[in-house]
Amino acid sequence: MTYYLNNISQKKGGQQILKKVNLSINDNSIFAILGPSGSGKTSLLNILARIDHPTAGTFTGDNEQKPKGIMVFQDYRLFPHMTVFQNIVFGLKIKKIKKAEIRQRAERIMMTMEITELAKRYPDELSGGQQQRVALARALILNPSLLLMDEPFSSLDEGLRMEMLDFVKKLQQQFKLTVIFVTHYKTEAYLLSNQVAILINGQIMQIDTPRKLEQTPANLAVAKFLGQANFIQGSFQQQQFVSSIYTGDSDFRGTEPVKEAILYIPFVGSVQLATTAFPAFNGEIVGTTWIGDSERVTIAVGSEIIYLNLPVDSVQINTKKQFYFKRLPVVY
Amino acid sequence: MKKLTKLAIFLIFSCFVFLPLLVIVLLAVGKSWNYPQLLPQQINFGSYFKLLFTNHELLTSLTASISLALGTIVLTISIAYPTAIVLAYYQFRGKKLLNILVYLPLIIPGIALLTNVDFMMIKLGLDGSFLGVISIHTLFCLPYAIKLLVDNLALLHNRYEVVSRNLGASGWQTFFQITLPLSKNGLQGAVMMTYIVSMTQYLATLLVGDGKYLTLSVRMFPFTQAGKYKIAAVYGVTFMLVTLIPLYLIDAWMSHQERRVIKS
Repeated sequence: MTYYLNNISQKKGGQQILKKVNLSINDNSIFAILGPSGSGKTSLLNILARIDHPTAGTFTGDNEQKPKGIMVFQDYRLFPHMTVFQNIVFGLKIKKIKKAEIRQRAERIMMTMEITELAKRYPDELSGGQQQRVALARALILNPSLLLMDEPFSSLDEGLRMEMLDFVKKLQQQFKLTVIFVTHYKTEAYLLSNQVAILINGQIMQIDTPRKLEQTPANLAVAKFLGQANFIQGSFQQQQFVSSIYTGDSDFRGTEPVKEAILYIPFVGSVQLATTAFPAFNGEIVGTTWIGDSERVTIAVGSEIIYLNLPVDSVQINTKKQFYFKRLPVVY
Repeated sequence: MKKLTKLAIFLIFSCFVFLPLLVIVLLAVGKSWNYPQLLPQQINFGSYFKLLFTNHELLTSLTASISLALGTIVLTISIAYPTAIVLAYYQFRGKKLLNILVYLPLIIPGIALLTNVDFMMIKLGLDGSFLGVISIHTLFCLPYAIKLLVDNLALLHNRYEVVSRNLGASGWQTFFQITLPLSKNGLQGAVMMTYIVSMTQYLATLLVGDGKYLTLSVRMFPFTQAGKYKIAAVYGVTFMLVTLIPLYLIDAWMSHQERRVIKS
């Protein structure tokens, strides 16, 4: 079932939290909503979970007029007065399902989530990762078609985060779920989903694949949020970008010629040493920092400093190099 | 030096709290305690218990005090709990004003409030009735009960109720399975405080009760005025026991429940 968010707006206390959000989310997929803190991500998720109502707009599905997502909260919110088992079966118990069936379904889901041995424990006796598994089990036991996850990995440490990312991917495939999750970590969004929506100030700014988002952010707000990029001040005149480091053709994303324009050069995948049809700038290598799979290279171009992630040992300090854009650079 | 200060504070505290208590207990159980003797000549616990179980007035007072306190608890909690939920969970116009109004019974001078409420009770035909007396007790208990419950509920906000509703529970299912069990500590505090405040009401019971409800505190007062210290002390000790024992039992039960949760 495809889900549709049609012109969803929300206003609270005179403040516009969501502005005409339009999205369509495919069945059996993971959809990420990425945005900075306070952008309205959780408010949007609350509307999809029917915890909150939009002031305008509708949330519908192909086969359902009023679909409702089951939410896994950022802080898990396991009922503190119930054991793991009681937490997991809560949703079934209130539906007055037979005890034998409840037990059978609980056992199955606990086995899938690898938490069978935790059944008798209370939430305050569990680690963060275990709490998340219980929260997931509590939601999945209801066989939801739509699972909502609010910043699901933000309270986990690095190693566990990667493990849970894989685990959620596996669960999505196993249960054929539609998962909508919100996060402010772009790596999480990119690792988990092929379709990422950028939500800034309550507005969907762009929906794209991670690669396209990084290469051509829809506007400066998206580019600045995604970060990890150089923003070079200049102007745009006679179809050309003019700045102290680069003057030439560009992929101009503005609406009309402006005096002040900004050249967007992401650290990764925008500039290279190999020759292309788009010469960028000539600069002196003034520093390199090892960052694992690549090197953060500091380049002095006149008075400007540019940072790029380049393959390890591809440049030497105090040497001058000519750099090339991989494609026409984006200017806002 | 720190130890010395601690000891001094402890001694001062003991002088203010335990010495008067000791005097009351000795008055209740002692015999022939005359000036200039520092302590009574004879201690007889039997006389206290004999008086406790044979004195008809004492027993009726005890029954009146406890029944009024229990009635007040029921009425107070049934008003305070929903009010606290509204104040803790919902945003509405006039919430700040309601928060202040809750404390009015404590802000307005007692005698002014009581005479006017008594007038109202007469008009409503509740003067001298059980409902009338527990209503006036409730009026003085509400600020404490609401404050304790609001603080407890605000601590959790409605974060677990939201989960319960999302998992498909109805409003009532959420209340009985989530809100109520999680308010246990707040409810315990509110019940204890209501019990104490109700037990200690003197003027309110006398005025609105029309002299029909002679509780422990109502009876105790004339004895102290008339210089009948022995019987006043017996009432005093009984008053303390019926106040402290239930509080201890509730507290012990709650601790037992918590231990059981941890153990299992």
